[in-house]
Amino acid sequence: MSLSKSDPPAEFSMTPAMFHILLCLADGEKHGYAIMQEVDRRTDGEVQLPPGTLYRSLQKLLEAGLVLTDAPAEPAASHDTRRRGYRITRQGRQAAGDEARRLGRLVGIAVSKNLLDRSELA
Amino acid sequence: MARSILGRTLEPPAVLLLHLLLGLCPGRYRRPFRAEVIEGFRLRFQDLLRDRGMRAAVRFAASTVFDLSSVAWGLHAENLSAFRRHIGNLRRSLTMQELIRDVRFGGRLFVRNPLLTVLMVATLALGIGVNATLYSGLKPFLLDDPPFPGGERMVRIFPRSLRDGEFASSVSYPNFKDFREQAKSFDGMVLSQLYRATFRGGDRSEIVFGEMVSPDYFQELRIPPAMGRPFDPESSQRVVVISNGLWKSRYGGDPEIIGKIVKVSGQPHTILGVAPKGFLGTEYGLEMDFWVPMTTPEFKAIREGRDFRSCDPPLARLREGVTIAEARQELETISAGLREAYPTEMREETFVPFSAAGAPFPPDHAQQTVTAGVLALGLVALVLLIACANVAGLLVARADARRREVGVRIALGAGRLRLIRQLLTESIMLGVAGGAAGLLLAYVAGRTLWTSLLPPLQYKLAVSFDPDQGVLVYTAVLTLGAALIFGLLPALRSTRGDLISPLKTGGGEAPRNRGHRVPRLRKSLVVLQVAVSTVLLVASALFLRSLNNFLEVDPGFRTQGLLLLSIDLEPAQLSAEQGRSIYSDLRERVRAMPGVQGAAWADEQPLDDDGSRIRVFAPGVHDDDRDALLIESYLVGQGYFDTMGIALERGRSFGPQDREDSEPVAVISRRLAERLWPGQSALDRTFRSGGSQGPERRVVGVVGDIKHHLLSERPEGAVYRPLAQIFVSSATLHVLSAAQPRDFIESIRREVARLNPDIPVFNVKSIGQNIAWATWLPRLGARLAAVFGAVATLLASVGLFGVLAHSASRRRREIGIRLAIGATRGNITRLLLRQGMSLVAWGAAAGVLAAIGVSAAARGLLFGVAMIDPSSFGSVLLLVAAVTVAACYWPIHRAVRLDPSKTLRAE
Repeated sequence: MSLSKSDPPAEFSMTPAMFHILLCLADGEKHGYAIMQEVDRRTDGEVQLPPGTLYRSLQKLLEAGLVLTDAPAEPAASHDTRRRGYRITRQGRQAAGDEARRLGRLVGIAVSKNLLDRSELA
Repeated sequence: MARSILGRTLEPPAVLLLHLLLGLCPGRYRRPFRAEVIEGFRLRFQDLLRDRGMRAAVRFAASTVFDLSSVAWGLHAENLSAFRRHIGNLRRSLTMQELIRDVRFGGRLFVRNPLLTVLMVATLALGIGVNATLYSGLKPFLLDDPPFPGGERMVRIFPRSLRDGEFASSVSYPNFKDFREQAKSFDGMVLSQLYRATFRGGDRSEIVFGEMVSPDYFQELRIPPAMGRPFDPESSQRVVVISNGLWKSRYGGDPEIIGKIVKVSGQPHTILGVAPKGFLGTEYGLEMDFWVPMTTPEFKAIREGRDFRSCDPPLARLREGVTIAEARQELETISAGLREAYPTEMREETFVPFSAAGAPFPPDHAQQTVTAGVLALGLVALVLLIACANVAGLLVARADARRREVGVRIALGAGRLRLIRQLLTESIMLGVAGGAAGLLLAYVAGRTLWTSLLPPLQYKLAVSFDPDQGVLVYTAVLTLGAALIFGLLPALRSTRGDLISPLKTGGGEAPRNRGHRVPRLRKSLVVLQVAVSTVLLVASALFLRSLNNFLEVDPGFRTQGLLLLSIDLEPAQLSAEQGRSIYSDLRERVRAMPGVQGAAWADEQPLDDDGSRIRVFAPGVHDDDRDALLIESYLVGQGYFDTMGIALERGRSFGPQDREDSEPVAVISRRLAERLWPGQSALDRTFRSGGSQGPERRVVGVVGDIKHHLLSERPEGAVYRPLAQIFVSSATLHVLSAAQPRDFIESIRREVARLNPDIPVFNVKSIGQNIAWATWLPRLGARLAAVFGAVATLLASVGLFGVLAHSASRRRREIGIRLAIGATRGNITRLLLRQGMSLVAWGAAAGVLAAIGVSAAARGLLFGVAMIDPSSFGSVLLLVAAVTVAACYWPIHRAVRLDPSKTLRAE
């Protein structure tokens, strides 16, 4: 039994990789390699998104309906797919926002417990 | 440099690996994303290689492979029932006992069929052996780090012209000193230069090769002497550190050696230390016997001349954490500062560090070397592929015969995975045996091969071709790869399809409906083999042709009957006057020997491994020093052109009238005359040697052009000045004789000893040895390609033989019927020959196409060979046809001798 499109979103859990991808797509449509580059640039190389994980995460986001792509999922000739663009959906924005808020709450707790200085947040 | 090219060549194997891993992923991931994953990897890899260097790119490749493996695993694990089955299988199949059982079972099979086993192991050993041999031969030139502490961080600093981007390979001491003082990127930098000296101790003088080095050489390299102490950078005393080898061979390992005095090229030097065993110096690939610091009075000119480029590119160790790009940046800044401070001496150049791994080729030549190396490795990988195809072919034949066994095991409940594992275990056993035998082959044969292929040099060479850890790893990877290639296909094949009918037919053979056919897989393997050996044969034909072209080149001087021997006057401490009379006395005495037709002195030899150049400045033609031409220079004595057989085209050669106190004269070559005074006579014109301020010389003669370094070089001209006007303390006597040149050596040595016992005779050789040196590289290419081509052809003909023999025995019944109903033996022969020939034709056609590609890739290495050289391609095709007929002979011979009644009765 495999994960499929009919699986309820309840089984979906957002990994850091997925969150990074959604953040990248928030500005507009991008292809996979551009996502890889942006994550590397934005995190100063701290987070590396190797192609295997990148596309596994994109697959899960596609399945959960958080990301869309125009090209068919299983094209006739696989080499057509090299520059497939990915777009964030309305649910995707919603999910990314939820995740950001969740992280924000966690940061708030850390600050209230003096684990983190508020000035560091800038 | 070599590393970044290697980085680029790493990409295809990494992509191949990713494809394999993607193959392990479930289709729902693999199908939509395969192309994107690969594309993403390649783009990123190239970016990293460009921006952050080899290390980052390789790290990324490794993390991608690891990541994709875990994605593949995760995808499978998500499928819960599959996961459970997987674990179950794993637990069932990974027990040690079963492995032992598999190994035992395989061993029994191999022992039962010893001939087949030996054939397979020998085939693999040959394939793996040639690969390990080549790898161990190339590794020192391409990969090995310098053998000093921190060698993996070492770089060589090459000067590069800002005008044309070309690299030079000599550096001056003052520039080195400024780098050492100003650069922060390095912790350790040394300068050195090969230094030939005469060691005089007791009653004999001998020529020994060592290095003159920067004063804190041993401290900077972090090589403390085994005995005594290193040089004191502040002292200018004449001291010497000798090698462990020299200490043992010349001084019998004398424990009291430190402090003793030895005469080095006539000057007394104190022995300060003995280098540790295994330390051979910093001249790549050569074994040095002593080191002297450049602080002594002899090296004053070198120490002070910023324009005196007389040393090898400095060797430096990058400080921990400093990247080569940062060091490059810093040196660029320092070079700019030096250019500003010394505008005339610095001649618009900058200094660039490159990794010191491998041989110190100038970086613009490194590309060609790496290409040649990778090409050669690719070609021998093809030999291994042929070997694998052979073994796979034999295993397929065996697998067909084992279908019954496999059927029984499946009927008894064995899973397919279990069976494949059994068959793969057998392949790996074969691979390990073949790999071990191949490594042994590489050790024994490789060493002999490489040593015999080394260029003829007067130095002690110190390149080790013994397989080391790296070769071991390389061989292990090859072996496993080979075992998978030749094992997996037959294993998959023999466990696929209808495995029950062999049980019913009772025979060990494949089902009847495909009864007389040789499996297509096996035929394709033969086609592949023929193609590959065609490629290799064409390669060796092209190299042979190129070598032939080299040997036909007229170097412009005699190539036979000339004996060369050098003497060094320095240890005898003579005045120029005395030196000149030694030169002329010796020449007269040699000329008087019976059989000698001519003798002449010169300071340099053409096609030798060194040579010297001077700047030629022609007033009226050149405006300033930057226009002066850098031209090959020879100082020659009377009778030189006659003895060498260099044609005198105009004017005169040097004679007794050219003395130290007479007008300075010169003879130039035709090409130089054309370059300086096109369309006009060069006679009686003057030029200045060394630059616009140099002494003026009048041209008295024009001679033909000769080859100076390589037979493939274009003539750039030469200038000859009389040895009588410029004294040098070491020169070579060229002796022309009709008799064996060797016959004179002893008599000449005796004459030298009679004139002065302190003068050593060295570097005795025939002119043929210089030609051999100049054609060494094409010879090497031709020999290697010939050896590998022969191995490949042998393997391919074994494969073809196997297929035909297999086919003929399968078709016994059919042949019997054909013979019984009236077919002639000629019909049968044609039938089988056609089968063999059609396979060969396909293979040869594919091989020719691939060979054109190889020929194009190797163009830079070939001399005077067209990309599609008809005679090379034609002769290879003829050879392939001949080998095919030979390989077909025996199986066909056996088939047509069948007695039809017996065959049919047996059925």
